[in-house]
This record gives sequence, structure tokens and C-alpha cells, in this order.
Amino acid sequence: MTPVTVLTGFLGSGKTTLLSRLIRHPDMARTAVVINEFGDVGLDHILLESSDENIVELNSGCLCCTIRGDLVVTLEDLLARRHRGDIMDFDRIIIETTGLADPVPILHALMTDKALAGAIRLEGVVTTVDAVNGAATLDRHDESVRQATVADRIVLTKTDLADPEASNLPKRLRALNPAVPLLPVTQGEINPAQLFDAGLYDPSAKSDAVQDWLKVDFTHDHHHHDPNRHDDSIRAHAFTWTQPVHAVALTLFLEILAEHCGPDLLRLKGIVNLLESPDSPAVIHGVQNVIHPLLWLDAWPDNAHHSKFVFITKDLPGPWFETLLEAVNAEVAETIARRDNTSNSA
Amino acid sequence: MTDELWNTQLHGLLDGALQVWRIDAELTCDGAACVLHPTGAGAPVFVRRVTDDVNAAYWTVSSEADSALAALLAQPYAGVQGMLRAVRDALNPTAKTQRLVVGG
Repeated sequence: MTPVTVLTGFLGSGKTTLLSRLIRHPDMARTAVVINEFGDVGLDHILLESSDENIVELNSGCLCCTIRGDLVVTLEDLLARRHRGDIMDFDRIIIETTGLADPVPILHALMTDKALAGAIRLEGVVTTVDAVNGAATLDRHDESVRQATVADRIVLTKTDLADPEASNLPKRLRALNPAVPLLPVTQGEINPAQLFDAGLYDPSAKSDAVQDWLKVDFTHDHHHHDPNRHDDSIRAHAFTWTQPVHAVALTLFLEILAEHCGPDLLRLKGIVNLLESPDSPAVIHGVQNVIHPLLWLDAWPDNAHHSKFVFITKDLPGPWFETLLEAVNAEVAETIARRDNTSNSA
Repeated sequence: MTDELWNTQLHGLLDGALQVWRIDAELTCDGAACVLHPTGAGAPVFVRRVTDDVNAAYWTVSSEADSALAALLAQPYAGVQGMLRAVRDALNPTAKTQRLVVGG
């Protein structure tokens, strides 16, 4: 399946500069690019200074709100043209969103569209945040908060113009998205290996991604207390669970989260010690009510063998997640014990 | 866990669920049941964990509201999942819900 990376970031945060550099890198030669711009006349594809036939422009609206269907059609067409040999073969696709896009619906579409299932896989989200205006943009624009929140990699741009520490930007970004690597760049210069094949959804490389978010402080919620900020309602909750989880309980837990939290569950990540698979932890990733099929690690990345969960949410009570898992797991355990007792006494 | 303990510990689960649902209600729990009194209009909703004579455990959700709602709730729920859905529907019958999707 062809990996798809979503490149997002607020207006003027350096997405196109980054993309322009990336596609000139020899390792990125076999890359198809889908660019989404507002307005009838797009500029980004010109700014990329390339006539590459594998660059497709979508300029009829914003991917996140009006043309998700167009994105699916475009991706289908891209894959069909590759199959027919009409265009150069490619190994990956990058989708550059508009600066005002909420990436969550885009991820949702990529993860759920039946026509694309089996042909593409979501590899991850790369978000650009500029060191000059990034903190102020987080204050003013909810979209920028959501872009940072769902990122698997955040590229800190324009670090030659401003020190991101001066505006407390790294701390704010880590509060929104505790595990995300922050990668400072100037003029879009970065090794593509730092952004791609990151392995978030790739079974062959997933250990690194798991290690990243295992660094999260699981002892408290990550939250700003400033009502004037857009990110005030966005919170990262994390907890560790020391008991093995019944597989049925995990399924029920995820179903309840999807049903009741839905759009407010921006991102879920977890490594789970399942009772039925103690030596091979399960890795879960979710966006809203969509959960990626479980991935299985060959071994535990640490000796503790404890389940760990990270939730990035909008206005959801963090302690409830642990309470819910405790209740569901206890109920399943009781049901199994009751059934076993009945079987033994029969 | 005994029914009494379940009913007591249910407080945390329902209190968090009310926040998730954005519903204002007064919640009280004791060993016998939890009661949710919606702020403003709406009849109280009662939630109980029950273990019957043949050692089967289930949840009941009941309300003093109109007969249609009472009929809707008049069934045992085998697990937390069904119980939470019933409580939410009793407090907000028009709530928008989603289902889990496993996607690539």
C-alpha cells in the first residue's frame, strides 16, 4: 500500500517552502504531491518550481470542509494513472492542506474511504509551526491548535528569524501533543528521513514511534489554564494501567469512546498489555471514532509491561477514561469468572 | 465486586459521562442505586447494578418519565456499554452518536 503523509500547518507557516525542499531531495524522487489551495488560482504548485506531472492541484475549496470527496477522487485517479503507466511511478503521496484546514476530517476520510482501502495507508501527519508567529497563531486560531494536536512530527520553521523558546512555543506544543518530536529547520532544510517512514502506522518501523510517545509524563494531564487561548479546551490526558486488559474489554472500551466521545476525541494512542497476548503488546491509534487496525509489537519496548494510553481531546474529562477502562475490564473479568464457575459446577 | 460496591463506584463513571455528554444533572449514588436529576426539566433517572438469584449480573436504567421512555428503558443491560447508552438516551433522546469504525 502506498503511504500517505498529510502536510499541514497554518497560513504562512512554511509548508510550501518545506515541500519545495523535500521534493528536490533525491530520496523523494518517487513522490506524488496533492496540493490543496483556496481560490480559483493556486500558487503553491508554481512556488514549488516544478512541472512534475505527479503534482496535482486541488483548488476548489478546503479539503477539510468542502472537497473531501474530491480528495478521494483525486487519489483514486492518481493511483489509476500510475497503474496505467500514464505517470511516473511513485512510492509515496504527500497531501498539502490549506493553511486553514482542520486535518482531523481529512484523516478521517483517508482512514475510512472504502475506495482507497487496500491502496493507501495513512503514514502520519507533519505540521509546520513557525517560530515567529506560532504562539500568537495558537492563541487566535483553533485550526492551528488542531493541526499541532494531531501531528506526528512538528517542524518548527523560521528558527533563523526567532527563537521559539522566547515565546514558550515548544512548551505549548508539548502541552498539546506531549510525545511529538519538534524538529527545528531554517528555509525548509531537513532530511526527509526525519519526517517520513516515521512508522506511526507502519508495522515494520513502529517501535520508534512507540518509543517517542512512551516518553510522555503519564502522571498528570497536560493542560494550559488560559481562557483566552484557543488551546485551552484541547487537553492531553495520559495514564498507565498496570493490570492486563481483556481483549473484549479493550474492544468495548474503544466502542464506548467512539460512541460517546466521537468528534471530541482528536487523537488516541496506546500500547496495551492484553491478557491474551502478554508478550506482544498491541498498539492502537485512533482519530475521532476511527481506530486503526491493531498493530502488534514483537516485544515490549520496556520491562514494565504496563499499558499506556494518551488521549488528546477537546473538553473531555481525562480521569473518565481510566474509570471507564477500569469498569469495563472489571465487568468482563467478573463475567468470565462467573461463566467459569458455572462450567465447573455443571 | 458486590452490587453495592458497583453502585457506589458508579459515581465516577456517570459523573464523567455527564461531562462527556455536556449534560447538567445532579448525581447521587449509594449502595442501592445512582440517581441523576437533570437540571431544569426532565424526570430523574435511576441506575442500578443487580445480581439475580441465578447469579447473573446486569444493569437496570429506569425513569419516572412518560410511558414511552419507561418502556424503552424497561430492559436489563448486560454491560456498561448498554447501560451508558440507555442513560444518555434517557437524559438526551436526540443526542447525536457515532459508531466505532476500524479503518486504515
